[in-house]
Amino acid sequence: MVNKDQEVTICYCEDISKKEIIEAIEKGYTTIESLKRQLRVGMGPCQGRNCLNEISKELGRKMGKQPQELKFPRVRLPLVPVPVMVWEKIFTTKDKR
Amino acid sequence: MKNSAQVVIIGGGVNGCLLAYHLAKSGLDVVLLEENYLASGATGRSQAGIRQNLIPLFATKQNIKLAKRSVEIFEQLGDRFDRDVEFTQHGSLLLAHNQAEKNLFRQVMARQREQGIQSTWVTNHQIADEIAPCLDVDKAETLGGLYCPSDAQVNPFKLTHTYAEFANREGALIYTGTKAISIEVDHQKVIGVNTSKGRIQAEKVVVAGGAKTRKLAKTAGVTLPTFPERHEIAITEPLAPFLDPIVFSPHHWTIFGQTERGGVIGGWSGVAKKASDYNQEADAKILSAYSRYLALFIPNLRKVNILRFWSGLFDIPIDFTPIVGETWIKNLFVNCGFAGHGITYAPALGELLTELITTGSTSNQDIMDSLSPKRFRSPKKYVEQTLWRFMDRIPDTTWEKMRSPLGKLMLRWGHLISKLM
Repeated sequence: MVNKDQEVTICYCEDISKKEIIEAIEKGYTTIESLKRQLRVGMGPCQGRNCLNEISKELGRKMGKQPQELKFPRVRLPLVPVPVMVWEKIFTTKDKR
Repeated sequence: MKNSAQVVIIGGGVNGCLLAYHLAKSGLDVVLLEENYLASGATGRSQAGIRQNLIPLFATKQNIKLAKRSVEIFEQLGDRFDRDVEFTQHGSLLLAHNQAEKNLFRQVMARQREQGIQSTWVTNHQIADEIAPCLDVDKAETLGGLYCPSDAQVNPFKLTHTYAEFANREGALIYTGTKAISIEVDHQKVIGVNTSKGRIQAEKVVVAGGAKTRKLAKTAGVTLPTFPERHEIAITEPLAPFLDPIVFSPHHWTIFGQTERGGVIGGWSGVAKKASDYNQEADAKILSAYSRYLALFIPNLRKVNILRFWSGLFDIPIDFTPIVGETWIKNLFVNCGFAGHGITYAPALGELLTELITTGSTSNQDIMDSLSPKRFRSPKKYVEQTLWRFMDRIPDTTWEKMRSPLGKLMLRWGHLISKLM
């Protein structure tokens, strides 16, 4: 029986529900990094700020670990999305080899 | 952890997982060791283009042959595995900005045609009208480009996971989070691998560790003339499909393409640095330069957000030819030196290497001989070969055009080789 609770969307950037995450964990993607690679959770504009807590809770529950024991993925720069036109002007060093 | 296996593969990237699948399928008892998680190295950090449109430096007959065979295998991958690896075949475009590059690319085209690849030379008008209308060819001052319609893109994680899943089904054991520390050799023969979780006895060992292959091979007494080079790429937020081919401008060192998900992924490698310390920290200055070129080619992207940027390591062999095959240590195989073409060559080389490991010889001995690490066995032979390949690859017209960026690159490598002598 599908629990109503599992229909909840966890990752808003990539539209991934709790159910999909549980299914992926059951398939063997048992680290946050591999879940990220498989489902793209944490790869959207929020970089996982909205979803990683929920995911780590879910994964921790499945793996019998505390969420803080799990290894979190590296946060990549920029921390918030920055337009190309801003980047263009940040560093104006010579582009020559 | 298991303490013995027939074949131990080190490296859980696309090449390692693919090889694990093929070897396990042919009935061998396979163990794969991965330091972090699958596709955590160059595979996952790459742009994941599958290009037969190689730049002249890499466009030897055999490299084109390998790329072509790989595309054929990728085309059938969906039927074979029933998994979606986001394989999209939208072609690739190699842009020329001056006459010298145009001549060079036309020579590449001739070599591609020899192998039966349907590539064509397209003018600025054709680019603007059909192939990539979003490109601002006038402002970027291009002189047309080499268009190869069968080039493709893939999702590197899904590709690696698919191969790993099926390797598992065939009986291969995959240990992630297990670092191979050294390779044990006795009387010029491999006997096992020391890992962070204990020792594994192995009949055969394959090192497919990208830039780190060299480190591990050294523990077995094999010195490979490769070095890691750091390249950086960035991805924008997802957009509706607007750019079909992967666009590569060797003149500006800029490459970009749109993924199936919609983000524009690409990078600028104008100051790609040698990373002897295997440092993978990304540098925002490079992103800044990339943004300028991206905006030059597609002005409409100026307002689009960049979500993330990261770097990965190319494994650059001194003669720009992959290093694949058995080393002079018996039963120690290496699969590295792709210089950023790892996914492109993976299926073709996986096939050949499987044949080599299971039977001891391959149906395509010519290719395997030229890729074999044994070519670096004696220093003299190595210098000879390298110089010969180098001279052979540079067309006469280019010698005069050494001022062009392509020429500069060649000069840079030439300098490196002369140092070694």
